[in-house]
Amino acid sequence: MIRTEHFEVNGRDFVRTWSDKNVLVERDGVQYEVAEDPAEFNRTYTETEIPIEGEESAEEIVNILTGVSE
Amino acid sequence: MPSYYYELNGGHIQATAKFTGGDVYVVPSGGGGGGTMQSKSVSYTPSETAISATVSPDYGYDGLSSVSVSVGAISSTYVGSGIDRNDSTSLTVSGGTVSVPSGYYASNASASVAPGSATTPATTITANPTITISGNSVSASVSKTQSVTPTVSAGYVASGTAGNVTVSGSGSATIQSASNPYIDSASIDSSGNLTVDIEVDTDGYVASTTYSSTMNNAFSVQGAQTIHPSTSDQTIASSKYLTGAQTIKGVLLTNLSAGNIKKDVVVKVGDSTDDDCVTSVTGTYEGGGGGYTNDDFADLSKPIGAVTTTLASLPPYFFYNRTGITKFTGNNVTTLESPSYAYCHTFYGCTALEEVVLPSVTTLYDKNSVFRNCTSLRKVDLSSVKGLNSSSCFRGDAQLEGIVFPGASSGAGNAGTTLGNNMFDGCTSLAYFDSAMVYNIQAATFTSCSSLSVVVIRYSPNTGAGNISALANVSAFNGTPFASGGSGGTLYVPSAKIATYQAATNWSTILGYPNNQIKAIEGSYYETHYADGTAI
Repeated sequence: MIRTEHFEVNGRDFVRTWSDKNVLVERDGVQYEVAEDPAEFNRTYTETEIPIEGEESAEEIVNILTGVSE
Repeated sequence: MPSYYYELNGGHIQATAKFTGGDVYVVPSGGGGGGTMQSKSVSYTPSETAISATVSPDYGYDGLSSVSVSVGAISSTYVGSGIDRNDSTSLTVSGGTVSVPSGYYASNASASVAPGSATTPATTITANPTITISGNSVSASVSKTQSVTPTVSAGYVASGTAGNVTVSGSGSATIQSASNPYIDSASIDSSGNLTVDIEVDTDGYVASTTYSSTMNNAFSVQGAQTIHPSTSDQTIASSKYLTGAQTIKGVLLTNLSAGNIKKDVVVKVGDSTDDDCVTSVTGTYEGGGGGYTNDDFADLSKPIGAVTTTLASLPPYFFYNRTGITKFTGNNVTTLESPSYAYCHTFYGCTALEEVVLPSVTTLYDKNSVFRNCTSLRKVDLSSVKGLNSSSCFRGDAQLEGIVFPGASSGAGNAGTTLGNNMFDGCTSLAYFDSAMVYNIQAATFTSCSSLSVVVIRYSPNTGAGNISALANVSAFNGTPFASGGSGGTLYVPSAKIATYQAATNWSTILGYPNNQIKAIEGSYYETHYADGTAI
């Protein structure tokens, strides 16, 4: 589900949008992990099926597979 | 014969003669016949009202033979009661007008008109200097506007003067050399703007006044930079204002010892005119021939110094954790090989590696962690790289001073110029990032790059974002001067894209932080130079 919250930057109202399913959100074909926009733009996002993956965890998996010790 | 009878009438005895027929009454001449006539005089005091009186003969007279009436003369100074009596209090004064009512004034009347005054005229002289800064010279001209404004209050003003205005002097302005005290101060800020405070002495009119004038971009600037020893001469360009220290690094002579050099080979470290001005070492090593042996690489930490290769391709993990390498040059290397799982690790953990020269490598795309944990790496030449998407490529390279990708292009596919996750994570010395193209910036790309103050993005093929680089997550700048509460950084982009960046998702947050700036590449230093100082 898409989640939003308001916050303020330098006195200006912003909206933060993200997915609580840990997937990328998308608008106009551009994907974001977390999208932050001035509130007056009223931008809306849709959820994708692309999971947000931490680079570190993937590397750790590789290291396990290859036996590399860091 | 008339009969007479007498009767009292008002205190008088009045005689009345009654005639009957046959009585003869002789009227005396000039009067009644036979009566006693009186000549009477009466006098009256003059009056403002009419006088009406009956004159009767006194007792004992029968009539009046004559009446003399006299009325006293009116005083020549008499004023009738119908004329107002006025005096000085009857006069009224309004402004300069005295009103005198009609009427009688027993004595001279007077009224005073309030006295007026005139102040000494105030004199205002305004000097209007025009300060011109051209090249290395400063000139000025001064024009003056003088106005004299006396103030006069209402009222009677006697003749005379109300103060003097004396105007003298030529009113010239003098501006001389920088050592002359007329120039109070001159300063150049970090953007090359010249501000000159000039004291203008306008003799005879007004006291000396200080005026300030700023000429923006008067000088091109050169920020702090570190120049590393090279095999070719390096220069600091002339006609630049240095806004930061220019540090010319000393030469590091790690392992430069006679035992590491073939016998009788003289190694000199110096410049082109004095090739051993730093040091000169004659080798004493009498072991095997040149080049590297397998033994050299068997010990990962063996100090083998600079490595040069003619290989065209480097296998994955080729120098993994080889801490003895200080410099790697591979002018022919075009490919950094990676296994299917993308972790290239070519130079991973080369903690003594200071410089890498790979001018022919074409892509870093999916070459993850190529230079990760190269904690001494300061300088990288990747001038032909087109694709950039390499997660953790330089992660942990705390000495890396900056990165320039002049060849980044859509030849790697549009998305190929994405900056991968954690690509520069922990590069705490990274002061600048400059790329010919950036498609997207992934999360944590610049995390903890605490020195990052300049980001130059020259183009983006990202049509979805309006031909600007998309920012997937503001966390890409966590721990940098660009982050919330940071000291601020400057994003340089094409002038036509500034408004798009300012309104873009996530960029609008970053650029909303008060210390950050966005500037046009055009007209800036970066129009003609990459961020590492090389000319475009």
